[in-house]
Amino acid sequence: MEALVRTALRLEGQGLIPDRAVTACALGAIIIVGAIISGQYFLAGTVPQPFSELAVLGPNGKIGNYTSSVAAGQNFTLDLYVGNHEGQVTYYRVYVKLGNISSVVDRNVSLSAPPIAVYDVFLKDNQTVVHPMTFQLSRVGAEQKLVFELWTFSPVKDAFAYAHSWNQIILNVTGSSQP
Amino acid sequence: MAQSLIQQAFREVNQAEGAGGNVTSLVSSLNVAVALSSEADRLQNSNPGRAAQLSSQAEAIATQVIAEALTAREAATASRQVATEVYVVELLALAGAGAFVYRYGPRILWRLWYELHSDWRVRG
Repeated sequence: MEALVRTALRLEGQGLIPDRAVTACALGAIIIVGAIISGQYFLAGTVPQPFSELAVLGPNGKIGNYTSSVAAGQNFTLDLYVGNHEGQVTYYRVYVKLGNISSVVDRNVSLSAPPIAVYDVFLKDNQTVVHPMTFQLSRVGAEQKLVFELWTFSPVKDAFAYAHSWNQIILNVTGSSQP
Repeated sequence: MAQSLIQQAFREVNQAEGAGGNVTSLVSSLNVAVALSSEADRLQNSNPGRAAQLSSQAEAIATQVIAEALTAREAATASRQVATEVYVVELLALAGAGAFVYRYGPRILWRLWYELHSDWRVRG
């Protein structure tokens, strides 16, 4: 018992009181566990930076190497890729529109042209889809712009809204190769 | 009509998911419904009979999804209630543990130390 007292006195003399230090560590551990439990409870299902993906895939299933020339009236297929990282189920609509090289489309403005094709899909969080789309362009002309716009349905507004995501392919539509 | 029902079904699925429900199968059903509706739109002029048939199928699926989403939301709400109760109990238990450590920690520590070193001898 004397040794115990002596040890305690020596530690106290060094500015370290073991029982208080251990108590503080135990209380700190309890606070950390409480913070982790609270974090799991309140942050479950939240995504720090929600985003969606839209891409047009080339022949190898990768972005790029798109065909640059198609014959008028002939079918050609492109794969559309849509990815959901919004943290919730999202109702996507992809509008495919046709414009010319001077047609304006960017993050804020969708192309003001009627859609030539529409693709609707529901995706869960972290779900992606690759959807083949077949097109046929009838108007012959150089540098026609095939625009893909991603829209999402807002349950609050009860309408689709432009999701600021778009893609384009410049095509030369030549005269039909059919005799 | 089909499109309107699909949108309503999506709203219900969205709310069910927000409540913590599992909506995986509902999303698959919605995709089937929307594919049928799109095909119906495509055939509207060329084959109106088939288009009406597909549209009707899409509506039936959307209606089913609405009903299942409501069930999923109710189940998720009940589950969330249980999770809240567990969370409160866990916090209370932690607070109790903290108070215990603060009050009795030093005494227990020294008692343990003493038990572990009870065979020590003091040299003169």
